[in-house]
Amino acid sequence: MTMASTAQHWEADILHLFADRDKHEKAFTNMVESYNGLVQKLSYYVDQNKHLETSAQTSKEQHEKMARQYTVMKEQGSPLNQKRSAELEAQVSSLKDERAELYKTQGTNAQRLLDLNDILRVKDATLAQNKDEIRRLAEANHVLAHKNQEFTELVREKDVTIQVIQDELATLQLEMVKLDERQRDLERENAQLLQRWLKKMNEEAERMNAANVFLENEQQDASALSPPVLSPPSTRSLRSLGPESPTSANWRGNSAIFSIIPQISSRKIAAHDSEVNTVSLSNGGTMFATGSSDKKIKIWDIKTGSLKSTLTGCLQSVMCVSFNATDELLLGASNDNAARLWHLGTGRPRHTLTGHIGKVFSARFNPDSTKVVSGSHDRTIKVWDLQKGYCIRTMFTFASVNDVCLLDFDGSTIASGHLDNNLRFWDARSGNCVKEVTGIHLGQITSVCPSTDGNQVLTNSRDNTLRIIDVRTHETLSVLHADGYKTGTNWSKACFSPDGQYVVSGSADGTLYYWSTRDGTVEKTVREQSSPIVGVSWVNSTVVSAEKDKAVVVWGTTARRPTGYEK
Amino acid sequence: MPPQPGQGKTPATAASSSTPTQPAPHNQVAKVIWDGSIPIQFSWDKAEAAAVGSNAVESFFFEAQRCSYFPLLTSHVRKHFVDMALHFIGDDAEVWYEYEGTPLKWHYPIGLLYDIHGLQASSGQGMNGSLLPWKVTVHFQNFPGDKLIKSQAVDSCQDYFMSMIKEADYLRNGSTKKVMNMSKSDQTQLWDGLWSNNYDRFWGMNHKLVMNDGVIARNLPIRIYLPENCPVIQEPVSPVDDKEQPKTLRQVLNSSLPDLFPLVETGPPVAAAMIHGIIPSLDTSAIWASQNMSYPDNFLHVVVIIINK
Repeated sequence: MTMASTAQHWEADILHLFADRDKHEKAFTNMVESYNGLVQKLSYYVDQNKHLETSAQTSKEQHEKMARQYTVMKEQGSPLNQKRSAELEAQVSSLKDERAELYKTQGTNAQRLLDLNDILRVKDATLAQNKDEIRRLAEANHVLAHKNQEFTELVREKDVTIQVIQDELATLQLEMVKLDERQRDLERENAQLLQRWLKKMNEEAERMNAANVFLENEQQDASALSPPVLSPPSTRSLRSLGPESPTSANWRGNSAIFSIIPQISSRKIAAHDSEVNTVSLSNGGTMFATGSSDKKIKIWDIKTGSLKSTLTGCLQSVMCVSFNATDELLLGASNDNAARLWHLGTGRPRHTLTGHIGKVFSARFNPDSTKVVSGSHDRTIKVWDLQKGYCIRTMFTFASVNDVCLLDFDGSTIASGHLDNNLRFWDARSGNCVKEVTGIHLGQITSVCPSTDGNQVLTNSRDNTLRIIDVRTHETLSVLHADGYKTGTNWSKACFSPDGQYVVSGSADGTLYYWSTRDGTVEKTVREQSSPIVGVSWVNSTVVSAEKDKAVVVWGTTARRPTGYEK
Repeated sequence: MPPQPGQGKTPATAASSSTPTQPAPHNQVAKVIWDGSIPIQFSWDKAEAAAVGSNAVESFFFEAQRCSYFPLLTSHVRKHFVDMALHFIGDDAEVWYEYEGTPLKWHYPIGLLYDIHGLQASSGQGMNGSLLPWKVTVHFQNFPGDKLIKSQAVDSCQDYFMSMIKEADYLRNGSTKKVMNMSKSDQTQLWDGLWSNNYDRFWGMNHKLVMNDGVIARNLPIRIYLPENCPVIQEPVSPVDDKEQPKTLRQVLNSSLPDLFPLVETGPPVAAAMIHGIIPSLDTSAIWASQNMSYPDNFLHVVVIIINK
């Protein structure tokens, strides 16, 4: 209970304190209240004032607008009048336009009148001129009529004269006919006299002939006792007469002889110390050359099989050997990027043809031995002039050349077989590629060989087929292949028989395959060697084949006389 | 609805004329505290006014409820100055208040702010009303984010107010269950009552919280404010002493500030404790003070005034 009473005590005290506080703190309450009322009123009046100001402004603007309108009205009158005056104005302007149009028309008409007057004046002048002309012409006509009369009279006089002359002419003609008759008589007389003279001359000639015949008979009887002198025509029916300088007709040799397949091995020679790369028979058929990896070229006699000479000078393997047409020179192509020329009589090198920057795989003489064509793995074919001793043309072939051959006498058409499986024909004079024969082989072409008649080219390829290509049409004439035939090396050379009836090539197992070119069948196979055949060469009835494993075999038609046509 | 300017009620008229929808228990002290108000003179910062071309803007006078908060007045204040300066459009979120160079914390009740900045700073010299009307300067720019909490909209103010009530509840009961169990509308009623200055609406709900259903609270929600920017003291204060006797204010203050508030006065008092602009007797029961003299946020804000010798 004391709690409650003390609480009341505090409460009273505190209420007293609060009353004291409020006395101070609420002293301004009434003032603030009335102030807020005034503020509200002020704000209301401010709004009101603003409103009035805007309405005054609007009224002023309206007034100004009205005043403006009034002035405009004053100047222009009522809208009805304005409309009428506008209509009238439009009318006036249209009438003005019309008037202007009329003026224009009038002007045009005046102009036209003036033009017409001008034309009239011109016409008058022309008329006067015409009248003068007519008068002049009438006078002239009169004069001419007069003249005409005079001339008519003159003609009549002339006619009379002509009549007189014609009479004279008739007389003279008559006289001439008479004279002709007399001349004809005289001619006939002359002919008779000539006939008689000829007859007399013939008789005299016959007498002379009879005397001559008698004399000849006498002479013949006297010469019948001695033999007659005959000079038979020189023929080159046999190659055995030995090689001579070729002509454009026979530079490939004579294809008239029928070739017989040489199938009998007559000699086997161990040719080199190292691998044999190439073999070639001389054109005369008396010897053959071999080239080897031992950097030597050896010349062998066919008949005896003995070594005739050894040609040195190459710095690398010899890849191709080739005789010139007269068998005096030998060309060797080597992997040392050069082709070399030896004189066979002396055994000394004549030329070293340097300029290729790759292995030279093939080099051939042209028929008159003035030029050499070489093909190299540096993708060029070079033509060398032997008189000058330097390269006269370089043909860029885009692929390494495995073999080249010449297709005509002057050496201007060249065929080349390439690493990229293609055969190309070149014009050596212009250096252009004449034809690129693609798609014929699936492997690189290892050799190209022309037929004797020059119309075909034989290609050998690593795809184990051979093809005969027509030079003119570039078409494949026949494809040669055989079971078991495999091309042994990238430089394996195949060749035609001299008469073009057969083709010979050596396989990787040492077997020689003979194909008939007529029907493309294998005619014969012979085997004497066991390593890949790198090259064959066929002249007359002799074939030589070289195998990689150092041996060369000479094949003939008979065992006893392997080189039957040799002297 | 915010209180309309010029409709401030005197305590007597308010008490007699209000017809409570939820009648609050009659409490004269609470009613007097609720009705407490101070006149404030709002002046626009001169530099800012000059910047927008309004040189002489008249001050705005307003009778503010001591229990109210500044954000609740902002819209009136702003409207006044916007009306005065025609080409100026302010923003509620940018408005801040300052008294003699010190930004005023918007989350403190206005009465507390006046007690701290006006009365405490003058060592109680202004208690005779010499500082009134309170001259507060209004700023529309350069919000001092380092000194005041940003986002001072009315919603944030409500959130802060509710969190204070929850904190007080926690101090009293060790949990916020009492507040959290209130329905949403009941919670809103507290704030709405404060905002609309409706005593019955507020106290009808607040009564339950403050009286704590007759249970003696574990701790009293008391905050003690010292001068010269000393940190606010808020310590757990038991309402009863060892002998289960209710503590007096002196005992409570003595436990926190023994030097300023000795249990036995030996000479003239060194300091005084001010609540709601008055200095009550230190023998007043602390629990009674907490129940009757708390601010609407349920805290007893005690401002310590050092008495000059």
